[in-house]
Amino acid sequence: MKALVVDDSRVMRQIVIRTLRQAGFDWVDVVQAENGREGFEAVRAEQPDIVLSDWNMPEASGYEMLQNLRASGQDVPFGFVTSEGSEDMREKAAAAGALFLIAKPFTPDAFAAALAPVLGGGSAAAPAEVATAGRCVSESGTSPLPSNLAVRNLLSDLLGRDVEVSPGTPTAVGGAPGSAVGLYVDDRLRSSAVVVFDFALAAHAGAAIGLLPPGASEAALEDGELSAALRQNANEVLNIMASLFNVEGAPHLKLHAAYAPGEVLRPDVVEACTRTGSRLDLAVEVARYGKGKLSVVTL
Amino acid sequence: MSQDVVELEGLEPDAVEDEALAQIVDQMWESYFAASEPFLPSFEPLEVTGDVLCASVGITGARPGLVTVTVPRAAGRSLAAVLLSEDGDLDDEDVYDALGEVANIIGGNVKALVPDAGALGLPAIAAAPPLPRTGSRCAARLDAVWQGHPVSFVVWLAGSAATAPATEV
Repeated sequence: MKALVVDDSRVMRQIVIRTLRQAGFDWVDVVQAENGREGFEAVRAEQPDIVLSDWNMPEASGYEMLQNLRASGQDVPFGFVTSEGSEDMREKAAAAGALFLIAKPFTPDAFAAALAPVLGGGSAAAPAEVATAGRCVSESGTSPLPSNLAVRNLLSDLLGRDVEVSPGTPTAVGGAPGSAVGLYVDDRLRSSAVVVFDFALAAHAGAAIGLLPPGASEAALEDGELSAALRQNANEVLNIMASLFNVEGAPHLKLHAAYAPGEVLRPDVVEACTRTGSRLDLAVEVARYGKGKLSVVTL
Repeated sequence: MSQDVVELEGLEPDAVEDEALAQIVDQMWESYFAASEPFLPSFEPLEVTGDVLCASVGITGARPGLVTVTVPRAAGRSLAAVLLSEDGDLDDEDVYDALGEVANIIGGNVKALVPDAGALGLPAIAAAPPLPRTGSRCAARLDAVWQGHPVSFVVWLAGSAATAPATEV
């Protein structure tokens, strides 16, 4: 994960970076720019996951930078960190496409609450009272867990095979050979759900959706490693799993990140995968391919 | 219009008062200087003299304003060291930058209180407080002592028709 910090004041860039760390985002890489023009170029060169920008800057303001980014089709999550936090400014920021506006002076808590939905993790307390650009972040509801039947029907349709599901135990993440994990976010980029396939299910589902023979997933199980094709196919299954959450009245979710078995997971993703409460753990059998495990956690 | 009425109008609360300025400064101190020595407000105006630095930011709009922060140069250096969390050699640029950012934070928050405000300017640093524009009055002032140094915050606002010219400069 990478954050771009844009401010003409070196002192304020240092304070912003320090506050990011204090808010618990110490795993985020930071790149810096000194004004809106440099910031615009840095977004193209560095592809950050979030931009934190001052408003008032020489050469090009943060507001102009945001407008230029959106006009050029760049939809990178963008938040202002500015001394001007009036309602007018918040409305203007939201209308231009900013996710939030953090007013100076700020605290690590304000950072945690505003950034956790985008970056995940952080040390945020309940973000209920955080005033973001224009509205409150706690507006929309959480996603419901899908039913066993919904999971079975989706996998069966997708893989073109009979699929059996039965109550199971939580799918472990980490270790070898690891599990495939999909992280799903809502349209405001809040982490909203995770789906975990154990290694065997990732191999079987990846082989079945790619019309590969059962031998392909058996070979992967023997090697303890997924081929590039199986990895890509497993990601595609995780991508389509998003439809499980997209039911009437629930926030619209999409796959934000797919982690292949063995890949290092973000700490907040690990936490989400192992969370108790709103989760569904299933044993899955894909006809002719084999058995595996699947977990769904809504956040 | 009698003299009495003029005096009463002069007592009307302005958009920015001492109390509001004190709150803004307090919040900033809490956020960025809490780990340093306490900030002790003074009930008497303090004269900042000698080798001083003054950061100011302008506010445009129906009632143009100016927010100034004046400190002895040595205090400016200490402010920068706290903000940057660096005790080593700070160059003048860092000191000007830090003081400018303090003025910017106060200015942004003051601007939110001024009706029909336009834009906030970029901070300017000088070796003496700037002369406020003709017709401006000192709407709010806060003097304090920090690390044994006087620190002075002043908000100048152009007088509106409803305010008395008593303290005009």
